[in-house]
Amino acid sequence: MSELFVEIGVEELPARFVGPAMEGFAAQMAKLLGPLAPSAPRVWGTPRRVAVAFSDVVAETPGVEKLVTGPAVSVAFPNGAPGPAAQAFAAKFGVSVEALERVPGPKGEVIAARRVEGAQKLVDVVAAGLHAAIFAIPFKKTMKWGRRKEQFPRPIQYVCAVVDGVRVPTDIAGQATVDTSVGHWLWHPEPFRVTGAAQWEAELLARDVVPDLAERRTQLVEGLWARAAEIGAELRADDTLVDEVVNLIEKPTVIVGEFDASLLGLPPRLLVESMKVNQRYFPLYRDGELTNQFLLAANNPHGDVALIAAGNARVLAARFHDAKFFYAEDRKRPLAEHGQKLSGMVWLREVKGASGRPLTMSERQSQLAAAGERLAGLCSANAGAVLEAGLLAKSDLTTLMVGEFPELQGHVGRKLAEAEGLPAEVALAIEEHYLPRFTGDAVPGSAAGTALALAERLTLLDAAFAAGLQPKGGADHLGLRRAAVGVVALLLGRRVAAVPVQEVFRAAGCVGGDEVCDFVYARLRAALQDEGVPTDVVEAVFSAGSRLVPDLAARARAFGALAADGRMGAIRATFRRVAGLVKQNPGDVLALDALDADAIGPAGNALREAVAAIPASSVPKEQLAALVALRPLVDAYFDGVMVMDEDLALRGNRLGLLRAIVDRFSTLADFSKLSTS
Amino acid sequence: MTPRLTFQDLILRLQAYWAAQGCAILQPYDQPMGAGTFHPATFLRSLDPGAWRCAYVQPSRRPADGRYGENPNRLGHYYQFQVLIKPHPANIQALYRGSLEALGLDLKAHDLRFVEDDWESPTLGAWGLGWEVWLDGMEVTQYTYFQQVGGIELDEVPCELTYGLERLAMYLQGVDNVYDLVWVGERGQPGCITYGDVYSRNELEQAKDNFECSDASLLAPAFEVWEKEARRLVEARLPLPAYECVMGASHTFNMLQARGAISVAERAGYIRRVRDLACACAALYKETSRMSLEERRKELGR
Repeated sequence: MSELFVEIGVEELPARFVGPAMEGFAAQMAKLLGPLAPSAPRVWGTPRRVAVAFSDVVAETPGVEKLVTGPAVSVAFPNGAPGPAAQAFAAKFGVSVEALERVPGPKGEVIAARRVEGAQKLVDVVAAGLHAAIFAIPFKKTMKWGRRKEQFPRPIQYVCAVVDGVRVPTDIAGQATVDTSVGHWLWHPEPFRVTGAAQWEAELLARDVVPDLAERRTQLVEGLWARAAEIGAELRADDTLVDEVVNLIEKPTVIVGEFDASLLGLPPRLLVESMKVNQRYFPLYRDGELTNQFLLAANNPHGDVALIAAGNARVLAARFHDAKFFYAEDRKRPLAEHGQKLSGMVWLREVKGASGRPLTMSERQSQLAAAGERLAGLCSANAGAVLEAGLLAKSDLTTLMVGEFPELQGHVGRKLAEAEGLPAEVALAIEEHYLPRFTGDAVPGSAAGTALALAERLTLLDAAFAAGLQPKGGADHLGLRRAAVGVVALLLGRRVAAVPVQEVFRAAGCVGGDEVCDFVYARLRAALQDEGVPTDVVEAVFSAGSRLVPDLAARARAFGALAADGRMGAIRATFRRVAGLVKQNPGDVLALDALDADAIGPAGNALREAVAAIPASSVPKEQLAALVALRPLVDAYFDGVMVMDEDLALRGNRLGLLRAIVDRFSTLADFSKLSTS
Repeated sequence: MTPRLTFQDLILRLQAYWAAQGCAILQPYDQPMGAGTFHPATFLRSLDPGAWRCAYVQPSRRPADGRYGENPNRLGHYYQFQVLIKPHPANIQALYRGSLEALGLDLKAHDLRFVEDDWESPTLGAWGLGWEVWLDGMEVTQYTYFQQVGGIELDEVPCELTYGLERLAMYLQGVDNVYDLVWVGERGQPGCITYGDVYSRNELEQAKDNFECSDASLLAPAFEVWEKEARRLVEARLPLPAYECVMGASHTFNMLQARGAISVAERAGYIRRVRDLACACAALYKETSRMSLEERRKELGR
């Protein structure tokens, strides 16, 4: 058994590409090695390197001996001596003329050569395929460098490829492979010889690089919590930020930074987002309040900590100085006055108002407020507050603060509203009407915010569909899918009375045509499928019962849980059969006690009693539990009686029982939509 | 402790360093532009066949960023030090780190990091991948491997290094206000000239003009003139003069924006118009740069 180790040394990969690079490289190498590598590789990754090691690779496969036949002996040995044909044949298969054999063929004796086929040397396989494997790693964004044509996220500096410590000679992007690696660029720039994966990792650890992603992440997280504890501050878990920061460094060194405390007068969300998004700092809290301290992970394990901390502190001061300037300017005027400038902004060029020209942002704001007010009842919100918030909802778009930090839209509006003494309910709704901003984001916590958030999305969808701007293919520059996902999330959020989507649109004063309603339902279907509810189950649920979003979701999820437990198969088979028979033989639904006991037989009677005993419930989970309990009885019924008996009276009764079952669950799902698989 | 380089020392050191790497030290282009990338030595030379190495200081005009001299970090006019090497050598990243050491920075004391930044200039039809380079968390350089310029894919990849001179100098001198930078001399000593001495008044007057005084009703037609002129010169097969009109159009657009005269909806249209012009110039430049000077003379009737 051999060990293959390959490391790609690269200029700093984008943090978000380190994971995909590791995964992609391992997959491509496994593909290249095929049966030579029986088990999965170990993979390492930092911003400056991606490496894989296969520890139990077959160095050489024996191959299969094969007999290749050639021309007739009479042709190859014209006078008993080898002629040109024999020599050519021998040369072709790399054997001597003397080694040629004679074997019987269909038309007499022919010459033949014995050779080994399919023998593979690991070194040859890697040398031949490494270049292609590296450049087959899929990345979202790649570039060319120098005069090369190859594409990679950043320029490759070296590729170290060794089998049992011996270099695999080949070229990668025009550069010969090496048998060396290099540690932290700052402290250990001299290359070191690589003899194997374990030695490589040990050498790197000694050279200020922690190549193992999980280990580096653990060190980072432990460092963060330890530093926070040391200074008595609270750290909030933030996996997204940790996942990014861990791939901005080769070895974590956690440092405490501090910025000018006077900046704490700015909106906390601004400070927090700026620290996280721009600087990749971890904000710190005390008693739940943001402090002017933060943690950063530097990539210099032996640097001047005070110098690095001081430098970082200055960055925040400089960045937030702008914010202070903007916020001070913005606060000089009330929100409504900022809103006056909205008349100079166009909402969407393609959406025209009654005048035939595009709606201004000011008109859009009025439209939103009106729709929100109409939805107040449905959301149990104070209509006056919704209207007031709506009429200010977009006004912060003209502030300097939002101009500079667009992600603060809504938040700045809320802060300005609070500062001028508007009711808390109104201020909050201004911020919350942007929620949810993305799939999985929080929904508004307040009723007024919910009404406005719903109005925002319904009016956008309605206007876009009326203007023929439905998303086509992948393009969706108006964010209509996101808007529809938002509607679904809001309707699922328990703050909106359950009515069908079309009624929600109409309540908002929208047209709510079938197409736009279907579009919203389609997002719900997609969301449920993403959660793991099988497609046919979603179809069965949507084909029956109410069009209420919470009800549809609850029914689909109840089935989904069943499918996740592997219990859906039996349900499918049984009830699809029931539904199929009923569908093929339409007829009136009879009362259960009108069925002839003799006609349906003992199994039928047991089934009838069980159906009659199902408690009335509108809770999908309970309905489904009843269905699950019924299933063996239905199977027994099918075993016990011939439903499609030639005697029409028998058949009518037997079908009648099945019809009663379908009818009993008609608000749960349409079983005929279930697939057989 | 890092040595206190004056602002001009910083420029002189960078020039000396990159001159030693074989770069032609050029001078600023004599037209307003939003970034050093607009300089023909970067934008057009990226399209030339063969190698090219240059470095130069370029004033950047960002009318919307002016703050009347009241913000210690933001300027409507500031300096970039620009390096363009095509195709870039394999050790360009090390060369770049060397340039910081040439400024007296002890990299072993600091935290230098390369953080993903995908650069794109919609007005120039250009994009590239690279990093923002952080020195203790502060972005000091924009580092880009150009992939496309003027809508044209590049076969020989140029590396562009753009140093933010004021920021770097503020860091090196340890000042929190750009106007306190020592331009020449020693702080507090007779003969010391600061950045504020040189630029405070300019920032005040230019911001007043950009935000309050400039006349959109004159700027909008001026944009049209630059645009028409650029088209006419492309027709006349003169990419260099045509490109000067593109820079003029771009700066006029920036002035209009600072004045708040361009709506969000119009903005994209203006950007597209500048890009179309830039791409037309780039295509013509690339085509004519394959010709010898003699052939050009003949074509132009000289």
